[in-house]
Amino acid sequence: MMTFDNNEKKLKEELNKDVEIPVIVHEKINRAYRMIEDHTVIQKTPQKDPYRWMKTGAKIAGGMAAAMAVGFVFCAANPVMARELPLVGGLFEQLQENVSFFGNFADKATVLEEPSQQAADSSDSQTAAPEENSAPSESVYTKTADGLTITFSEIYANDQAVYLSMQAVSEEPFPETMMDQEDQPVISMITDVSYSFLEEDQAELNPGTQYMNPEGKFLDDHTYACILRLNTKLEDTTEYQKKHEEMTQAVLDEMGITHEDLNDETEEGYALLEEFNDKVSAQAGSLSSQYIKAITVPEVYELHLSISEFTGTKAEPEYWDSGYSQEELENMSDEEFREVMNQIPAEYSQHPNEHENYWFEGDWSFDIPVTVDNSLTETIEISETNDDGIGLASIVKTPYELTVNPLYKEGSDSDCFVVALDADGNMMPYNDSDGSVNNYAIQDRNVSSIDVYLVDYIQYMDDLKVRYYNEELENEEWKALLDENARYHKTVVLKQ
Amino acid sequence: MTEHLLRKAKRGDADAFCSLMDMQTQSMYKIARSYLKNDEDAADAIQDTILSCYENLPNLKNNKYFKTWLTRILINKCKDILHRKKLTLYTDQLPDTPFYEEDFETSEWNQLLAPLDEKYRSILLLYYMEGFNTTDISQILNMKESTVKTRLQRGRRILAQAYQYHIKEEHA
Repeated sequence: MMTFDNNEKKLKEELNKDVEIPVIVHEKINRAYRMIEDHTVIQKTPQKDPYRWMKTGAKIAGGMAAAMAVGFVFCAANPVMARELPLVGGLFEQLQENVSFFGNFADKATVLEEPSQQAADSSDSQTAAPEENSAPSESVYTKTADGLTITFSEIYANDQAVYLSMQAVSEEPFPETMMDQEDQPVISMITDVSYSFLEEDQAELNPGTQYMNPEGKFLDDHTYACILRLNTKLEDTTEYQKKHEEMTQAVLDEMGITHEDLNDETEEGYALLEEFNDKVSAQAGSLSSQYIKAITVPEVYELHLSISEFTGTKAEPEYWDSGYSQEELENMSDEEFREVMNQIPAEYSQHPNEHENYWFEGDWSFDIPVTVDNSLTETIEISETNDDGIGLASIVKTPYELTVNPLYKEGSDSDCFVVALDADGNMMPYNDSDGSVNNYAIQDRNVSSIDVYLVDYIQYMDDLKVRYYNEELENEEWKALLDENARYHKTVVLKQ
Repeated sequence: MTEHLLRKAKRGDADAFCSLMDMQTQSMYKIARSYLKNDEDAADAIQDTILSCYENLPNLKNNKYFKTWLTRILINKCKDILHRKKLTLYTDQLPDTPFYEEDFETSEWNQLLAPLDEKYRSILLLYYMEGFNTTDISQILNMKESTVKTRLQRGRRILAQAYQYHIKEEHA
């Protein structure tokens, strides 16, 4: 018989096992993240001066930031997919007015062609006018399940991302669907994505199962069209993390202390923390430049994409009718109200449920060959640093994105934030910022030239950014502020 | 890693904050579901918690209390939802039927706590899953530490009885 102590041990183990997080929870979490990124929600100013100890603590963070790159694949992918989507070919032209986009590259995308023995039938069905509403036969790029036919029709890929145009045709008309704040249908999909170019020991870098909110529109009552952007800009930080650990331990050994000696609660602990942080940040920047490895994307590979659920939110959800008015419910005693609420059918609590949603379940699986087109990728090698040892390694530009790669020499303070302005002086919002690489969506911007600033991280977060948003600075004012405070600045001319 | 994410998040670094929240998703979900009857309410509580946490994070004075602080916000959000729905679950009686939905498939941990009244369940969850001590739990739940200790002790006894009964069946 198990003893009480053994019970506790097992209890603890069971309680700490990971459970599957429901889709509705992921949906609401992502919604919160978007409100944060869109500055719908802002942080309250601390009542006191920013805590001094945090300034030095963040110097460690600057060096370690790149270590999070691997984990950012999932976090970064969803917000980007919803906001910045390219136009490809005829289908994308229809979406142009309704979705965010990088740029019209209809001439650059390729049609996904079915194997030759099916080409005649399948291509006819794929290019059929949406209003025909017929369900095409199964083929490599067209799958049908649960009365929904999903087709991928066009593709464009570079070494940063894959862009796919997708069409979903329902045998029955789609129910009227709720529209979001950007006037797009509230649609979600559960997908599983993997790339053939990742080795077995890199498998964890695959996006895996994701909850996607595509951006698109209804072409008619039976047809929904959207764009999917899948991130392929992946990084291996294994060696970097190892080197960083070795470096921090070496600093501790040099100082003759351990981690326990570092704290912000005593004067002595705080002084040691500051010294430790200065030494670490002096070395961390160059480590990120040396040891973070971009995963090489081959010219040709295969993308595996599975969709297991396609869900829409009804325009007017049906809430359960208790039979009582709101006033009657409010006037009930706790016991009476509980009795009424206990009668709610379980189906109203599930997600998705037929009262609030419509959905399709199935296995729409695609193996899509990808050919990477880097002909439109422009890489500008800069390899320059200033007297402080900070600068730029390179800038990579595709038709849709701009990537800025900072460079930090050994001994430099790498705790910087990258700010980029387009040729018109507009600040470029970043897609992905992890301290080592900064990625910007171009979105019809004038990028004949860009101004790149490396700003002290603490100063940017605590002061400059706050002033930019709170004082609603004009472009000239913002540029002047950056010119005055940046630790490094360069204007880079780019080809069009 | 939590420490440096927290420091960046306190400065408005959205990416750092999102990563920090991703690390808390499992525990937030379990705690929310220990209070709320369905995933939709739990999702609402978690969303509200994330936003409130982001807004007020710069005012968190001591980072080592981050988890305690976050948990307290979450539980208060859960209680707000319960209050709005007037589904107060505190009762001196053990429930006759399980609290949890039948389709809560990954509910082994959940089933372990099912024999407990809610007033014991949340304390044991915080104690065993989150590793909070009784002082932390008293601050999170805004109750006297002596009350926490008493309920912890009683809850453990109830579970011990449930386990022994289960084990006896296995060996029958």
